[in-house]
Amino acid sequence: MAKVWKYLRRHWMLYAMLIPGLAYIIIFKYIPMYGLSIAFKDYEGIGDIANAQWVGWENFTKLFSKAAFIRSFKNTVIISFAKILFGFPAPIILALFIDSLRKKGLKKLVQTSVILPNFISWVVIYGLMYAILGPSSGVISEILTFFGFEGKIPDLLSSKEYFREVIVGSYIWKSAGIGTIVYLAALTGIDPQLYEAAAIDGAGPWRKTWHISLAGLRTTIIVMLIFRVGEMMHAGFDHIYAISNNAVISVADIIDTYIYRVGLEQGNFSLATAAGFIQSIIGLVMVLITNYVAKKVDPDSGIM
Amino acid sequence: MKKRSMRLFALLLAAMMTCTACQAPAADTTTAAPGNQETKAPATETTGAAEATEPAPSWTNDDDAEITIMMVQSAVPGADDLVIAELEKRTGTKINMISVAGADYAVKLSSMIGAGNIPDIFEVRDLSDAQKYIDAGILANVEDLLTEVAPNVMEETKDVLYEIPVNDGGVYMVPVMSRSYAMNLNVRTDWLENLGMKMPTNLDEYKEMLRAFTEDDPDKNGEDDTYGLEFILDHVGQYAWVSVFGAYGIPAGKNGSAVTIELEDGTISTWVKHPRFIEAMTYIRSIVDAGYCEPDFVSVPAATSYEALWTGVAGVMEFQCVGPTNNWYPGRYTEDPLPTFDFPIIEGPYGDSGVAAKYVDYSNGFVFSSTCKNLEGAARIANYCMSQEGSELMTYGIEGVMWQWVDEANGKMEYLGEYTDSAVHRAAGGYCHRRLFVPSFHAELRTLNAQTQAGVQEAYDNAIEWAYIPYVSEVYTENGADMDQAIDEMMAELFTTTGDLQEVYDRWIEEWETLGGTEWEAELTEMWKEMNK
Repeated sequence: MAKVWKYLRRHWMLYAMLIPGLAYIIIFKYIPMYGLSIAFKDYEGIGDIANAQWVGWENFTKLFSKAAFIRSFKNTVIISFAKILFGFPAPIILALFIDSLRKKGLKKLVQTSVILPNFISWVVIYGLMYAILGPSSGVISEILTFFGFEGKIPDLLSSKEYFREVIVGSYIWKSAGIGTIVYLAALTGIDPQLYEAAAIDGAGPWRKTWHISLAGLRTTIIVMLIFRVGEMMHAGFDHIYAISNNAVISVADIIDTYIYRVGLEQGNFSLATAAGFIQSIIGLVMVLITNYVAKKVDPDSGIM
Repeated sequence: MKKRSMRLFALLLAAMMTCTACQAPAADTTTAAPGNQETKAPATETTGAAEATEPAPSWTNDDDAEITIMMVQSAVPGADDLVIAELEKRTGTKINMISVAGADYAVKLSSMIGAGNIPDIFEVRDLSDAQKYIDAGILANVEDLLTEVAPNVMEETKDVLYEIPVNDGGVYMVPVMSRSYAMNLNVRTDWLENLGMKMPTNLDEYKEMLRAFTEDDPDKNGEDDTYGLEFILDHVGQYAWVSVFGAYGIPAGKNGSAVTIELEDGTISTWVKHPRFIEAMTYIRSIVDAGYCEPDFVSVPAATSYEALWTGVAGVMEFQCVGPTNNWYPGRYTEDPLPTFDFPIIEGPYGDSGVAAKYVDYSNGFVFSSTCKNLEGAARIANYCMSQEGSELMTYGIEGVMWQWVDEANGKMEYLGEYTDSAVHRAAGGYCHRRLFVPSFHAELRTLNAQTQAGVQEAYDNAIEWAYIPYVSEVYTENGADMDQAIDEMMAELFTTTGDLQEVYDRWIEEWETLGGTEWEAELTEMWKEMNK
C-alpha cells in the first residue's frame, strides 16, 4: 500500500488530469444507470423512481407481446447489419483513396469535401434527397425528361422495396467522410520506409495497400468495428425519423423510433426503458463476442 | 498489502450502505401520496400566531419568486422578448417563459416533471396526463384563488370549467377557450375566372375543376405547370381531403382516435369505421390516380407542399382559411397579380357537406403547479391574458409601439415601424405567446380580414357533429400509439395500393381491433352512454 501511495504522490499531476474524465463518466454514465430500474417498475414519469411499484419482468413480457416492437426489433437488426456491412468499409476505402493522393492541395480539398456532409442535419439532407430523387420534379427526373424519357421514375422515398437501400446509401453519404479521420491518422503513423522498401522489391499500389496500409490499419479497424458493433441496436433515430413516412414505416420503424412514439410521446416510461435496456444488453453481448473473436484472430487487438 | 486493501474496500462499502440505509426513509416521507387530490401548496403558515390575527391567504404569494411558464409556442421569440417584459409589468410578476415547439412539447414536459423541475404554469394537452399529475399531487386546486383573484377566468370559462372531468372536486385545469379553426377548401377564384368556370358545389363539379386546373392551363402562361389539389399524406384527415370525407358525412380527424363517431349499432368508434369510408376513399383515389393533385404526396416535405400554393403551382388546398387569405396574404405569394380565393362547400351523393365540428377542447388547458411560490401572481397572469387587452398584448404586442388600431370597431389594425416585418415582430414576442390563457373571442379572431372571418364562420356553421368524449381512456393510454400507427399505415396503403381498397381496409381494421381497438370501442361506448344518461 505504501508503494502505491508513493507512486501516486510521485505522479499526482497525471492522476489529477484523470479526475475530470472520471467525474464525467461517473456522473453522466454510471449514476444514471440507476434509472434502468424503471424497466422493472410501474413508473409514470412523476415522483421518485424509488417509490414506484416493482413489477418484475412485466414490461418485458408486454413489449415482446407487441407486434410493433417485434417489427421494430427486426428492422433494427436488418438496417444496422446493412449499415455495418456496407457502411463500415466505406471510410476505410475512402481513407486509402485520400492517402494515395500525392498533391497536397487536392488531398486537403477531397478530405474537407467528404467530411462536410457530416455537419448537415438529416432534415436538410432529406430536402436534398427529395430535390434529387423526387419522381416528378427531382434532378434525376428532370435530366431524364430532358433526354426524352416520358415515363415516371420510381419514388424511392416512398417505396418499401427500395427504402432500406435509401437509408444505407444516405448513411454512407453522410458519415463515411467523418469516419476517415481515424484511419487517416493511423495511416500517417505507418513508416514511409516500408512503402519505399516495398517499391524497391517491386510491389505495385495494390500490394502496398494490402500488405502495408491495410496491415497497418488492422488494429484500428478491429477497435472501430467493436465500437460499431456495440452500437448495432441503435440504427440511427434522427436519420430514420427525418426521412421515413407512413408508406415505408413498416420497413423503417426501428427500436429507437418505437421508443420515442410509445415511451416519450405516449408517456410510457417503463416500457421505453425496458426496450432501451434490451438494446443495451444486446449491444454489450455483441461487443464481448466481437472482442473475443478479434482476440482469437489477433491476440494484440481488441479493447479488453 | 492485500489484506489492508480488502479492509479499505470493506470500509468503503459499509459507508456506502450506511448512507443508502439512512437515505431511504427520507425519500419516503417527502413523496406525495398517490391519489391525494388535495392542494397542499400554501406556503404561508396559517397556524400559531396567524390564527389570532387576520387569516392569511390559502395560496402562495411571494412576488419575488419567478413564475416559470411552459407552453406550446405559436412562434419562437428572440432573446429580447418585449411582450413578456410588458406582461411582467402589467401583472406585477417575474416570468420565465419556456418556448417549446409542439412536436417536442410532450417529451420536454415529461423530462422536466420526471426530473422534479415542474413549471409553475404549464400547458396540458391530454386529460390522462392531467389526471396523472393530480394523482401525484403536483397540481394546485385553484378554485378559491381564481374566484377571488381572476374574475375574467371564471367569467370566460363559466360554461365549461366544471364540465372538464379533471375538475371534479376542484379546479385544476383552465381550458384553452378558443376553438381551433375548422378547415376550409381554399380554391383559386382567379383560375376559375380564367377558365370560365363556376365554383363547384358537388363532387362531380369538384373533380372537373381539379381536372381543368391540371390540364387546361388555368394561369394562362402557355405551360403545363399546374395541378389541382395540393396535399401530403401526413395531413390526410387533419387538413387534406376533409371536405370530401365531409361530403360523405364523415367527420375526419388527425389520426384514428382524434374524432370518434357513433355507429348505427350505438358503438362509439374511430371515424375511419364510418360505413361510407370506402366509398369516399374510392372517389379520392379516382382523383389521385387521374393525377389531378400533388404527384409526390407521399414524399414531398411539408414546407415544399405549402410553396406549391404560394407560387401558383396548385390551385386548391384544404387548410384553415386563416392561412391562405389572411396570415399568408399577401407576403407569401409570389405571383403578380396576387391570387384570389373563396371557400366552396361541396355536397356529396347523400346531401352531406362540411367538416368535423370543432369543440372547446376539454383535454387542452393550463394548470398550476402545487410547488409554485407565487400562485397569486400566476392567477393574475391568467386573469390578465383572458381580458381583451391581454389577448391583444399576447397576440400583437405592445399597442402604440408594435401596432395600433386603424378602425377598432371593425377590427382593423396595423403594425408599426420595424414590426411590419413579421420576423422582427415575432423576435420581440409578438404572436409567440398568443395561446396563453386565450379567451374565446381572441384578438386574432377580431382582427381577421372580412373574407377570412366569413370563411371561419362558414366552416363552423357547416360542421358535422361527432361523439366528443372528454374522458380519459385507459385502453388508449396503454395502446393508443400502436392503434394510431395502424390507422396511419392503413391510410398510406389506401392512398398508394394498386390492389383492392376493401381488402386493404378490412385487413388493417382487423389489425387495429387486435391492437386494442375493440376494447377501446367498448370503453368509449360505456362512457358515451354515461354522458347521455
